Amino acid sequence: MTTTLTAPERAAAGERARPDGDRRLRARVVLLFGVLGAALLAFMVLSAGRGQLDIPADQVLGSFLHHFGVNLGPMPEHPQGDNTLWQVRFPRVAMAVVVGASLAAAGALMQGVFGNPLAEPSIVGVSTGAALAAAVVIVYQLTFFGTWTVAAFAFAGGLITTLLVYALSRADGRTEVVTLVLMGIAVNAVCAAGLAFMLFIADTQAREEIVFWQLGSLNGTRWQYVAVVAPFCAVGLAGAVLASRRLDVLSLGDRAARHVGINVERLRIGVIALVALLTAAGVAFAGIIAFVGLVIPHLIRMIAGPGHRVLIPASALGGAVLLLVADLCARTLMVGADLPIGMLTSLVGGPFFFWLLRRTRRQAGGWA
Amino acid sequence: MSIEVRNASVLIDGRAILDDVSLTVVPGELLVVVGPNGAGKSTLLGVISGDLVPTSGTVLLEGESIRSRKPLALARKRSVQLQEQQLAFGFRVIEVVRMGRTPWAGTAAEDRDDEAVAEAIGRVDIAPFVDRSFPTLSGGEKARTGFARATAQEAGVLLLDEPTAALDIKYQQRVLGEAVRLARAGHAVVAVLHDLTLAATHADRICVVSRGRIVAHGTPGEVLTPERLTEVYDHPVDVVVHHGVPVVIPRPGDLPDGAHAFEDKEVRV
Repeated sequence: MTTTLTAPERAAAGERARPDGDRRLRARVVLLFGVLGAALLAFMVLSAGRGQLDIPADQVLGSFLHHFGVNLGPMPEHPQGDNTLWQVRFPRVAMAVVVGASLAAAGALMQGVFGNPLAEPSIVGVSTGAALAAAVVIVYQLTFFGTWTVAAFAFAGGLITTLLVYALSRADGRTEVVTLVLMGIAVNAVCAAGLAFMLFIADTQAREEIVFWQLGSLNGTRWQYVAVVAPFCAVGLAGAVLASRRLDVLSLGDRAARHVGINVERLRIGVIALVALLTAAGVAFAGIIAFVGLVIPHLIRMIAGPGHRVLIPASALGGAVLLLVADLCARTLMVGADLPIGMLTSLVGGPFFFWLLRRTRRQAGGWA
Repeated sequence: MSIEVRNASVLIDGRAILDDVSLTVVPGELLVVVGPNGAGKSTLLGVISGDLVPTSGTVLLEGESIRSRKPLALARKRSVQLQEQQLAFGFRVIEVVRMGRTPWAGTAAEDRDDEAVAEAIGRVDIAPFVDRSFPTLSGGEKARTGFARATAQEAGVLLLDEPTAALDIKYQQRVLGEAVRLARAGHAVVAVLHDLTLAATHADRICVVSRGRIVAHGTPGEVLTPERLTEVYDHPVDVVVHHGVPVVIPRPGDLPDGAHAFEDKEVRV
């Protein structure tokens, strides 16, 4: 035998190697959560204050606190100020937070379960599938579950499409980029055809509703909608955090993950259900807002590494911030107009996706 | 902790990849599986690890069918290093080694996590690059990390599929040396190897697989005869005893003239 070390010597050799990386990473993670948390609060206040009726930040805070019986800060000066905040702005801000968090977490989860950083609900067609199911509700004016109907259908549509994409795009326990993207084209095409048919048979009012919602918008958000979507988001995020350690291990590949004790099949089905739940939360009332689930998890990974215990909550926070900013832009870029938010995210996300594709291709030395 | 394979056959499209194989792996020894390409070595390892369900026959872990065990229970009994080290995302090397501790999360053994990881890292000298991102490593560094992960798992049975294929001489010796050490410490270790000399220097027992069958099984001295190897590999092979260990030397095939213009020299023993 060449080099023989005793057990304590080996342990010491390992101990010396105890990485600084852990400490550095922890510091970055703390900083990341700090910055994201602060940005989230700042943009919530800012976003609530901006619009046709501008309300300064201190008055926004004042109105918020007074509502909960804390008599701190000034109330809005404008007679309609308080009303506008609570009827229009706050629900919209809350919706942006919930939808952004859901979409970004859905993206992170999907990338984890596919073992592919390019998987994202809107790219692989899950968002369109959820949207098609939701359009059916609008056109046929279905009301089985009251205000929950749209969300429930979106969930079912999302679940079916995710399962379909997953089953069809995997070969030998992994998903290649080409297969995934091509699957996305196919699924998107079929679901878009379904959506087109829904548009065709819809009456004028439903048609308008679908078109707007297809573009993606937080316009007209009401508290009832937030109340439907928030539990979806909460359950989805909680489930995602619970699955995070196992998702880390899944990146070793199915076989190796099984070797360290992961019930891969059960984990996969569970995570797919979570993806559908979160995508439904994102799509049900806000329509298709693409690429949030691609851009945010990617940026988080660059800062804090790929560990899902950080990636998932940080993506949720980051997604919320991104959507707040995007919605603020949608409302304020053009005077008197409320731009579709989905258009904005695609405008930024499309080129980003292209850049990621190029990079992945270069790194993998082809379309592996 | 012992594993017993009883009359296992694996049929794929009607072709027998494994044909009525029986094998026992016991604690305290390193069993090396050798054989030509496509002989069924990896399939055999897949059967032993519980990844592959044999078409007929059974695999018993501690006398109990391996199929009745859940993945988690199984992971506490055996660890596996696959031939290829995959990783979908850029985890750091130390994080990959820590993944080997997954089966012990929430148990008393969790307290040993840091110690087990540090020991595994020391075992194959990967300390200098524990902070690097795994996908940026060379093939040999990846293989060493894979070995560290498998040993950090601290399961009684250690299964290694070509752990030395990508390694230089030093780490070939190191990895198999550690495999022997683990065997002496009471692990049951199985390694699939291509390098017959490496097999001869480290194995307690060697099992030769050819066309899905075990054609020889015993100590290196018993198994590695020139006649048998020549037949199994369908290529002429010499066996020289050097320092008391059989060294396997394949005869060169057809080479252009002058390609090996060395004089035969006596090997000093």
